[in-house]
Amino acid sequence: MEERAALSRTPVEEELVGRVAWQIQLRWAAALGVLTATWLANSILNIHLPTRPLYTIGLSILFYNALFLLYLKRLEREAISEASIFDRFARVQTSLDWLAMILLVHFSGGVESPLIFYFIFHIIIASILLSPQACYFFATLAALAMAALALLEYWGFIPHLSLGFIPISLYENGLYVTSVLVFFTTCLYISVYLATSVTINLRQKDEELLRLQQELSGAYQRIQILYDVTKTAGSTLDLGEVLNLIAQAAAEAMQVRACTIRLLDESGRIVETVAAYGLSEQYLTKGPVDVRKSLHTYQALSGQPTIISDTSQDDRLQYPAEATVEGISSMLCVPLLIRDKAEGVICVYCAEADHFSEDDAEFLSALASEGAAAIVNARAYHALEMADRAKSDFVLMVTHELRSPLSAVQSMLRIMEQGYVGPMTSKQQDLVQRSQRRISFLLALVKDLLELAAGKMEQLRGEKKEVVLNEVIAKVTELMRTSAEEKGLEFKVEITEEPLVLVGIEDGLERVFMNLVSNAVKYTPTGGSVTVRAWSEDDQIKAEVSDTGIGIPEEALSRIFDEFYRAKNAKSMEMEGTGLGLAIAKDVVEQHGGQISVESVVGEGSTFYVTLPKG
Amino acid sequence: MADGKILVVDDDPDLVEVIRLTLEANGYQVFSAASGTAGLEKVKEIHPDLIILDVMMDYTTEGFQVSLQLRSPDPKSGYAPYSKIPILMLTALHSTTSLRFAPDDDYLPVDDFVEKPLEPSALVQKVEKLLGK
Repeated sequence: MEERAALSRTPVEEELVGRVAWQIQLRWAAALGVLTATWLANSILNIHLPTRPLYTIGLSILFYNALFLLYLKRLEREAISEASIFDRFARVQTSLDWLAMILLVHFSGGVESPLIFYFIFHIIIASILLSPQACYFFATLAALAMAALALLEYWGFIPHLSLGFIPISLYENGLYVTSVLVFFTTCLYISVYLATSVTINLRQKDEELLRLQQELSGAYQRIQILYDVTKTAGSTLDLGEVLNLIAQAAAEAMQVRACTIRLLDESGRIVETVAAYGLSEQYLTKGPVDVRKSLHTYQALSGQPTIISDTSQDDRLQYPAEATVEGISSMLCVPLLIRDKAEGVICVYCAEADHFSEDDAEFLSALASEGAAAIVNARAYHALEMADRAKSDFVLMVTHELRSPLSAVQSMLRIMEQGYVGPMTSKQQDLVQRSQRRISFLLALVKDLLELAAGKMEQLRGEKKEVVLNEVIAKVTELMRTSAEEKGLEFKVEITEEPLVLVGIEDGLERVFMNLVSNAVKYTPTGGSVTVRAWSEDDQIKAEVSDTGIGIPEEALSRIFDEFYRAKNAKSMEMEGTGLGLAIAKDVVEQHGGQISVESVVGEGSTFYVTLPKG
Repeated sequence: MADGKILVVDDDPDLVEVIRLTLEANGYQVFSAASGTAGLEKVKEIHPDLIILDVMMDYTTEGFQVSLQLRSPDPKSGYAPYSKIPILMLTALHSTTSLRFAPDDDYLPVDDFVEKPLEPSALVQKVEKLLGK
């Protein structure tokens, strides 16, 4: 059975409320009927009736029905929907109706009254409103009351008010009275039997329908939750967040108290709680869950869903007392399979005993496989991150160690070259200058390496602010114009007037365009041209740097953005180049959520495209 | 001779040697210390006219710590006897330390920077400027 919210009425309760209201409606008609019939019989048909008691009864019915109506309105206003209250209400109404009915019968001729047939209507109404037992009870009550009335009249304890339809002698005939009572009584019981069989059947159908409806909406909710979990698990790398979401989703979808996700530790003997929902701190810190002592955990770890129907009766629990204190009566645990190996368990806990079914186990297993996938992803990502960090740390360390001696050597070579330590022959001078050039290259390489390593480390921490890309590119092209023109290149800059604004790291973006433009100038022979363009397209900023230079061989295109990679033709043309410029450019562009790509034909030139999101 | 006493505080003996050769050739008297602590002792001993400090020695900002100590007043006397000595900071630009170089009295109490590897003429020029020549 599902635990349901306290305030909303079930369809069965809803119906009970509706029927009580309907009964009150009917009673107005009944009371008016009594009054009208009395008047008609008395004034038109000239039947001799004790009108005063009959009018009194009719008015009394009107009166108590008004009270019932007020009471019903109050119940509705206060949103009271407990079935027991309505049940009692229905019994009170039926009791009063019975009393009114008996009195009506008495004042309209007792056994000879045609009204006794109206008990049948009452029986039908009762069978709709009340339980079958209550119906039989009221039928018995009616039979006894009728018998008592007949006997009291027969023995003369109360007067018999004859309507004059049947001869007095017949009424004094005990056999006749008895047979009327017997037929009346059997008629009542048969009516109860027929009416209640129909209503019992209807109620069963109602309940079946309700159960199916609940099952269906439960299944739909589960599918929805599974979908949500899958979506979140795929979009976040925060393992803790994903696992907590799964724990919460499991408990909510299965409408149970709590859920835990536990993973085996390194020893393989203890399962550690990595996510929990709905459990007290006290329960969670009860002590380590030892696979050798917690047999249901052991069973789940061996690959089988395990159901504990009653925690107080099951010796597979390691902490039965704590479970009782926590109010947990049943549990379901399924294995968390990572690459077909159970590395943990996911358990759900319910306050109600005997709660979990095979369907629940199947649903929880589906959630468990989402959890397992999230764990695999997070582990892979963590390993990658660690590898990347180790690489960056190594590069940083090496470059620091490299830079100091290189700086010292370069400084010493400079004072030698400048004659601070005495004159040198021209050959010595030449060799010192060559050494200086080689050292310069090494220093440039170290500088690039440092930037790359630092860039990677700062990836998401860099201070971002609003950058106007037009200005950045203008600054770079102004700096590069001189060297391009000195080399005899045509240098064209076409930047849109429209401000190209994005949120980013200005130094980084400047470095990107510096690298691209200086490469273009470097690898374009005299007489060629370099063009820098930037424009806006939808919600993106587009820029391109094209040249009529040596181009990039096809086999090198896919590797041009790799660290330390330099195309063969680039090496033969320019000695000084570290192979890091484009790697840094790519790193920075991607940090900004953009893309960089290249198109090139050897001997004709290259074009680098940069796309950045506006912001 | 004796155009000025210059103290070089750097833990790299080769670099100290380069600075010494360059500055002595320009008529300065050069002293050296291999650590921040030794440098502070040396300042008290010789009262240099100029201090050349390396940023990174035992730890990344040792040079800044030394210059801060020289510039801050003594807690007892409330007087900073060495605060007027100009300081030239030796740095490796493009370094990955997050410190930004700005001639801000509150933050970096140094007078100028010179980049490594050393360019002798640039060094001499900055020294002359700081000594008011």
